[in-house]
Amino acid sequence: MRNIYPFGKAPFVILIIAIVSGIVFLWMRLGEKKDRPDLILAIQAEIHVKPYTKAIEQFNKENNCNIVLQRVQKEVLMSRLQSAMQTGCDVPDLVEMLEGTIGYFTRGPLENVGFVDLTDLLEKDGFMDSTKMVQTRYALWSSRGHIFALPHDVHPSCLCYRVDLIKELGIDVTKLKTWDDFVKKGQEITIPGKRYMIDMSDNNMVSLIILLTQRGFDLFDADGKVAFDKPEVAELIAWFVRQTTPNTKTRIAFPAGDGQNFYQAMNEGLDLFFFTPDWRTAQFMLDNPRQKGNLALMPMPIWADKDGNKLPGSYMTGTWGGSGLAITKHCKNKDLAWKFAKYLYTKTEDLGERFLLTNILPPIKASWELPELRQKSDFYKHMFRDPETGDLVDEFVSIGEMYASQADGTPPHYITAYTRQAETQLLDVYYDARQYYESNPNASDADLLARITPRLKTNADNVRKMIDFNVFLRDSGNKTVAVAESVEPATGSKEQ
Amino acid sequence: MSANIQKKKGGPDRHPVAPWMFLAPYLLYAAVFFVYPLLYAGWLAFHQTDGPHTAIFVGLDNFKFIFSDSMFWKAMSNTTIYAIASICIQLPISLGLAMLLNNSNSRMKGAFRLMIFSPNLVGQIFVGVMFAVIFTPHYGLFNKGLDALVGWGLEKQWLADPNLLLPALIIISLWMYVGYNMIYFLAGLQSVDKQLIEAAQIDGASSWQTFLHITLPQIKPIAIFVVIMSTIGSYQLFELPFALMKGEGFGPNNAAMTVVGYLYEWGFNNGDLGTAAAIGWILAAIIFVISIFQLKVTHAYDVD
Repeated sequence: MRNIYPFGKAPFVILIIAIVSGIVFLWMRLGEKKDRPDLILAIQAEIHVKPYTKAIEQFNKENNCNIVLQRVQKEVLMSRLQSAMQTGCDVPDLVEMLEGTIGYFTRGPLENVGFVDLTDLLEKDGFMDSTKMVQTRYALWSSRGHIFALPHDVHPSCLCYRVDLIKELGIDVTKLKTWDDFVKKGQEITIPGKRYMIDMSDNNMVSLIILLTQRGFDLFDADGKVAFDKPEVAELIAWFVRQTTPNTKTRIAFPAGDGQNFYQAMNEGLDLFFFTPDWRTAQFMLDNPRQKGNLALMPMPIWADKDGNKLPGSYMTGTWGGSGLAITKHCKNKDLAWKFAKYLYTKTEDLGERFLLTNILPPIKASWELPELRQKSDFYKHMFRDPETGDLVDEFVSIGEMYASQADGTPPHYITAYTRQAETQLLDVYYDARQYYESNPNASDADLLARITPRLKTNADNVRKMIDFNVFLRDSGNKTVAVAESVEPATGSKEQ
Repeated sequence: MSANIQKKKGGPDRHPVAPWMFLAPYLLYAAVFFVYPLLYAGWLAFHQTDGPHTAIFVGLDNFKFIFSDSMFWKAMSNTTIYAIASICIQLPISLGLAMLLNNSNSRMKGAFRLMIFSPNLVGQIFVGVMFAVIFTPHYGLFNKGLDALVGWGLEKQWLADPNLLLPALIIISLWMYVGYNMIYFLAGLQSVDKQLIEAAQIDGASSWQTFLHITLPQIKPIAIFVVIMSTIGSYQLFELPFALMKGEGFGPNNAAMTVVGYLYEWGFNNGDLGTAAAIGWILAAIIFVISIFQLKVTHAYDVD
């Protein structure tokens, strides 16, 4: 023994373990490479697993290939993707990204973006045609005039409410056409601590973004320039402050939070109305089945002038959330990946069945005519005036039709590498104004604006300073988005 | 036999490489996971990066930007307030509880010790998620408790009010770490010479005088250790506010932004590892300076 290995038995055993484990590890790695499927698709939404699995099976059969689906938790997906792209190992071929996540990958030179530029492919296959596809959805996935993902959805927002409560309180939802109508009614029925008109989150940007994009503004403009220090944005913040500030007479909103607390607020009637994009309708069905047949949908009130006319540049609805399918540059078979991406997201025949599982309206306009999207829900209703009797009645509604009626009026939401910073800076203005208003509940609009406007300018400049600090964007002209043209908002809304 | 002894005696001379071979795994590990990252972070701090293949030398620009960024100062201020609260509120409570348990003859002593210590067994992420629910306005346990006890606070938005978020963090950290520090103090108190205390009491010293002149000096090394560890831990605070805000920023007005949170934002949300590395070096320097300062102030190096 000593002649073979002079350092003793224990080190010899350790050496043997090291050699054996090294061989096993190498063998496993080699085996992995051999068995790698043609494409790996990584997604985070659990609700997508079932429909995608079915589509993948079908695609594999039709194309004699092997595509594998991997479901990864949201935060893990992003951190794994970031690490994988930086190190170049185990990068999936296709990734279903979530709203806001593209910014991380587009902060550097365009050639460094880890995703395939789909702009030419989209153009070639007719997806840049506004009669075929909702164009504003590209804003989520664009940088400096290049599109890096195929949009999965539209996510226009409606308002959801409980039919029994609305009837009990005698609220005529057909008269809530504008936000002014809505706020007026809200102030009538709000009882602090017991009942509020609407759920508005005040510790994140969700509600503010829905309202801001509906008003026709955003954190960044189509060129990726900071755009939230405009007078209209200041006015919107002042409006939001009035609705959400505790201990004030103007307050009509209460943040219901999420999870169990949210459903408790809904079931106990603490909040009456809830921002509800299409995806959220499926969530309510799953998580709160006791409200089956008692929830109704209505289009969001519009931003209007004193005569009730929609404000120029504003939209019918706001937007919340979004997914998009990106092909990574590490993908070996990009043609197959693009073919599969189109199959998964745009094959009209499959979209109807998928809609029934997810309630998510596809951006492909042809799908809006599918029978699955037109069939009536047995969960959601809508309230309307009976044309014959004039009475306010309710009946089950087609979720697909309800959201399709709003979809063309869905605003763009531009995402850049600095979206998160911009959100933080905007929220800072809101909190400051809210504190001011809580201490000065008699403050006029002019007082609030005098507080908000300079801070908004300073905070917007903070974001500009951050962008200027980025040597990569500085060198490439800092033009972030230019593809998604704003679609002129639809002027009419579907009758409730 | 003698041949064997001769062989053993001659072992080290015949195999001068042997010690290095045994050290090699650790040296390799340290080189890969400590030395290289440290040197690389030093290099990164003077660059702006976009992935591993693109880096542009920017000199001191990263440091200049950080020191001119209001967010950095906000993070510093939040972290410092949290650290001060940890030392000034948490440690006296820990010491008080340790003294109570040390003096108690109760058979429940062990159970109390476990009860007070047990929050520390739960990870910060879990605690963050749990307290996000507990602090929910109207329905949260904390607000309901406040409402039941003092008839106030049911609608308080602990996580949405910039003035309440940092106090909420301090309350959570009290719940988590009071028991942890108590165990250190308890260990210290148990080593205090009882004869000295008895002698002082016979000489007519009050409880306060006994504590100040007998107990405290004897647990000084442990107290210094706990203060330094709490300070370092406070400046490394990240998971708790991150989980409390569900990974979506650091709260209203960045009221829960910490220095490590600021580093995370730059490194993992902005993707600029250069600026993140510069923040890391600044943080290391801050912790170093504060630790040295504390050691000096407490005369920890003095030889009795």
